[in-house]
Amino acid sequence: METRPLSILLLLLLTMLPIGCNAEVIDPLPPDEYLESALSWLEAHAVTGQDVDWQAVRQEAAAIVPDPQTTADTYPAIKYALAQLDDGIGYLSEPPGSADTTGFGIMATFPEGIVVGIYPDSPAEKAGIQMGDLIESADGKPPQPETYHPWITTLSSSGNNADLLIRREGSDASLSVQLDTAEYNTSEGHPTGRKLPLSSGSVVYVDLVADWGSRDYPTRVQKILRDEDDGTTCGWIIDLRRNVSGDIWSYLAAIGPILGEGEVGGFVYPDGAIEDWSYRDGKVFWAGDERGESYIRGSIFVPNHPDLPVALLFGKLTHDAGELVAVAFQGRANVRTFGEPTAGVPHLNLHTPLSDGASLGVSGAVARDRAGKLYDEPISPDEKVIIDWRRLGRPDDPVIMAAQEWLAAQLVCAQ
Amino acid sequence: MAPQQLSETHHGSEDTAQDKSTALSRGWLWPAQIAWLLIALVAWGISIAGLPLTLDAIRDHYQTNFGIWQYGRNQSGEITLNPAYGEPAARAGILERDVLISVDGLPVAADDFSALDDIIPPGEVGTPVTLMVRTGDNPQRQVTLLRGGDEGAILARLGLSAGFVGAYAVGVELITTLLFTAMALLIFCRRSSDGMALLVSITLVQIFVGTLSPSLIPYLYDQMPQWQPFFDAWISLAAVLLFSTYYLFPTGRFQPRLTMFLAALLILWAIAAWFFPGLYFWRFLPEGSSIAIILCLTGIAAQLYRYLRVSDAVQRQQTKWIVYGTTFAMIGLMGRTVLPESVSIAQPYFDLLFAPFTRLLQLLLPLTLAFAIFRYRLWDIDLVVNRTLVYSGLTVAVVILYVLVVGALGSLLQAQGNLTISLFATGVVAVIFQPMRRRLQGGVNRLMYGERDDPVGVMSQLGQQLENTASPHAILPNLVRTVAQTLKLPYAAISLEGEIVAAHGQPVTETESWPLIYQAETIGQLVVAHRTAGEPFNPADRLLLDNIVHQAGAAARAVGLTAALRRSRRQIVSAREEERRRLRRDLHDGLGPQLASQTLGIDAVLKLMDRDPEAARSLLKEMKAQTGDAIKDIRRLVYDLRPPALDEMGLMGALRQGAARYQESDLSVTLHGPDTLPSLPAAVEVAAYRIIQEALTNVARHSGAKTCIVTVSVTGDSLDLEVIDDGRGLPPGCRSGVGMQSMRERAEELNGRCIISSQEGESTRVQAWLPLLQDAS
Repeated sequence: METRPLSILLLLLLTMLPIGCNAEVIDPLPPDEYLESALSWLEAHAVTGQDVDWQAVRQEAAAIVPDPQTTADTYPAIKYALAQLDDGIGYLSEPPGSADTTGFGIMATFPEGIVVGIYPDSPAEKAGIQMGDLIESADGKPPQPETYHPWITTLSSSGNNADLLIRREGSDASLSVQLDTAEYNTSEGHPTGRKLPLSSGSVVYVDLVADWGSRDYPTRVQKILRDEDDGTTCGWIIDLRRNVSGDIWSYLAAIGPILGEGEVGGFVYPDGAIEDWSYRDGKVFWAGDERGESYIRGSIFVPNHPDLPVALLFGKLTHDAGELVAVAFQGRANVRTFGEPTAGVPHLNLHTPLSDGASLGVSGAVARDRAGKLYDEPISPDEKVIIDWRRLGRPDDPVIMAAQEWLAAQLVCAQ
Repeated sequence: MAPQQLSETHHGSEDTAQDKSTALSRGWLWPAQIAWLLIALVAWGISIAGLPLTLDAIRDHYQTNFGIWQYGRNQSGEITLNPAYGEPAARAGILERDVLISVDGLPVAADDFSALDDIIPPGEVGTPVTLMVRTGDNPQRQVTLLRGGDEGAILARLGLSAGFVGAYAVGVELITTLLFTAMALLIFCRRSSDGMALLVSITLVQIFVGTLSPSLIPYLYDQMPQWQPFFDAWISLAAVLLFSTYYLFPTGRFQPRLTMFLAALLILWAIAAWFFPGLYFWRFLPEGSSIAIILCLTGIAAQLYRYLRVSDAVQRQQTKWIVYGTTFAMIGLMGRTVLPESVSIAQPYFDLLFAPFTRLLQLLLPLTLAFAIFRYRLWDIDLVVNRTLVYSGLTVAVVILYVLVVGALGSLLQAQGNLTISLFATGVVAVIFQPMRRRLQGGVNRLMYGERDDPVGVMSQLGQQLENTASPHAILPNLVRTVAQTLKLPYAAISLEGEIVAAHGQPVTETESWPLIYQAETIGQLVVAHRTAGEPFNPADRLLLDNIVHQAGAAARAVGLTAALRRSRRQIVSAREEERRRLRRDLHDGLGPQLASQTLGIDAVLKLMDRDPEAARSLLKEMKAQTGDAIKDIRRLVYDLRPPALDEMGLMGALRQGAARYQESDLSVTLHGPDTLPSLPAAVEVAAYRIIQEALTNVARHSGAKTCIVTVSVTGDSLDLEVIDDGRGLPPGCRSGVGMQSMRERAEELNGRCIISSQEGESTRVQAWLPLLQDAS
């Protein structure tokens, strides 16, 4: 019968099945080698490593974990070394297994406790928490700062739920909200934007929220720009106030058409090596290599008018890649910055995988702008405007109003 | 394949199919054929051009795969590394921007490279490579990696080389391309005069060879950006062809008419997009995918509309084929694109099993399309559906069984990935495989065809039904019900003498009849409907129905005989009662009053005898006449009971006397027979006398014969009678009258037979055989 060859094939496939079902697991390095490799790496690459006595750090680390059995046992020693570096960036973490993270899906300023970020499909969104809500307490205690970003709180809870007391603007009574943790996507940012009318002409406002390199982020931003940009556009407002971190190359690819062509900044390593960042023909380059984040679905946005003035907004939450964007705009013609000083120092967040899958990060290089100026402290705005977090992004947001006022006074808009 | 022969072996009804060209067959075929060839050439070009790229990509994938790249060079000009998270190099302890000093002991002084693989000396997968690296200014350390990384390790364990996997993938691709090409060329050669067939075949080649070939995406499309405008146009052509086919198949007319507008829109879009590439909907987000989905929905809706409103039975069958093929092609396509993203399949299994499997699934679409076109009557789709059900069920069952055995043994023996366990499990599966397949096949067959594949079972079930049927008139209804249920037919009926006597199910138009034959005599018909319209019986069905008809013939005959027996028994009883009533009437109404009046007469004579002898004498005379009448009545009665001549002269004498009566008419009757017969049973004598008498009456009255020969003989245990005349014979279609009927009955009453035969225009012959031995009853 014709069934014979089929049967034989099926049996053959079966015999092959088991051999691959057990993928080989490579053992990580022994704990002592593991610790040494982490310390060596920090010593070799940390910007702030020159001032550290590594001999002493190694001795102290060995004292903290005298007889590590697993690589995880050595984490306190590595964290001790990071504390010695004190660069405001360094971290040690398990790598995210997936883009989904368990939590409440909320980001608030610290110590104010004002909600400035709600992730789509997160428990916070489903519970009806709104931007500008004030978190008075979580489980009866005031919100706690994030370890690596002490100016924000995400209410990361050890339990599976949290009881929040919330005060909404215009209301005297506190709301009680219970949140359960759930998985949601934290790596994907959802940029928004709109057209803001001026007395003559208009400006396009884009909220460049944080994103960790999701594939469509640059496309989304450029779609907003394309949709809002018309003949009346006479300036841009780029808001980095909620840009707490993420992927600098994604941001540069997104706003490249506004930023302009050529070298836009660079990194300076402890050993003096320089790597520049540039934007050419719709692509982002790091040290001459094209970045994959440059991908735009469809065609690349071309502004109706080139070189329009740009108002850049940042504040105490703007950090890491957000700060690097601010650096990239330094030296572009017709840029003015508004808001408050940024959170940290614009550095290269250099990170390495460790052999057990953990991730070790450190400030690996100092940023410099296109004019060659090095940044070793937070970036201060040209025009200091106190940020009212409860009015963030609204028409009566004082920072946006200040930016609009400045843009209206520019020659392009005044015509 | 010889489609024409195949279709001819079926019924005569689809002879027309060969001439049934679709609406797309008018004058522009010549340029269409040229376009066909051009598009096909490009499709093959794309497929072939991508093969070396596929080969290289797969081979490189297994050659390298450490998950490590060159980051750049440090200030001293040394090469720095960039390991990827979770990949072998990172797990082996290489850190970001470590300096690479040597590979397998050889210092790295090469030019810049991107991936480490470019500078690693080639070797078979799974073999070790030793790197010397340094973190910053710290001491050097040694890191050992296996060529091909994790996936290379799997390949090494399978005993395969990277080159083999590449060649294998190219081989599968080549085979697929060849099969698609063969299919399309077959359609082209057989039906190049049919526009619809041309469209379908070029759609096959364009999409499945040219567009869905893994050569185009990702390799060609991504690696040859300068050709992207052409590739975009090519993909838009694929969309135009695919949806035109959806809108037109199978008649070649746009139905509903709206689809013509949609097709025109598609063509306009394809032309416009050539000039404005932003219109290619796969390039924009997220509306692009919704446009594709809407397009697919229009195609499905058009086919659905056609199925429900337009198609005849044959076209519906074709749609069934398309649905079948499309479903599998889509599963294959989705398996290829979606599944690897959502489920992690180790690359070697993807390359060795999954990718070829999904590609072969796609191959079902051209196969089914070709079937739909060539075999206008699609009588084999059920076989395909059947086998699919069986083998998918079997695969699932086997995998479950296998996993269970391996899991159970693995946890029992605390061992995983043990070859012995997998071999044992394979052995178990191998042992159970064939019985399981047979059982599944049986189950699926029962589901689809009832008990067709178990003729013995059907026949014994039928036999049991017949056996257990208490009353004869329930036999035929039981029989048709059994036939309909066991074969899963919507309708079955038995007709005897043109009249439906038993039926099961609703009568439908599309039926076939089998004659019920018993002893070479057609006694009726078994009428059965096809399972679904346009799906005639296959040889297995026919064989079984032939067998059933043999049984049913006997059963129907038995039912007829039983009825006849009852009828005749009733006739006998009523005839006896009739006879008794006549006797009683004759005795009571005739003789009784006569005798009573005689008694009265005698009383009167006694009274008159002295007073008036004259009156008494005349009264006695009167009474004598009355007595004579009474005697005549008695004679008549007795003659009716049994002709007295029989007793007086014996059978031959009585016959001779009877024959003599015809001397006066023109008929000359000759009697042949022995002078004396052995002593015969009285009933036989009467029956023989009456049959011959009746036959002679018929000859005299109806035949117009001049002579008539009567032969009486005793052979063995029977008395044989024959009456032959030279008259005009029985007219055709003559219904037997009361006389003929009574002749037969008289013979049959005695377990004899009477046959009346006639040669038209010549003679009539009556033959009767009357057995002499009375049975005990």
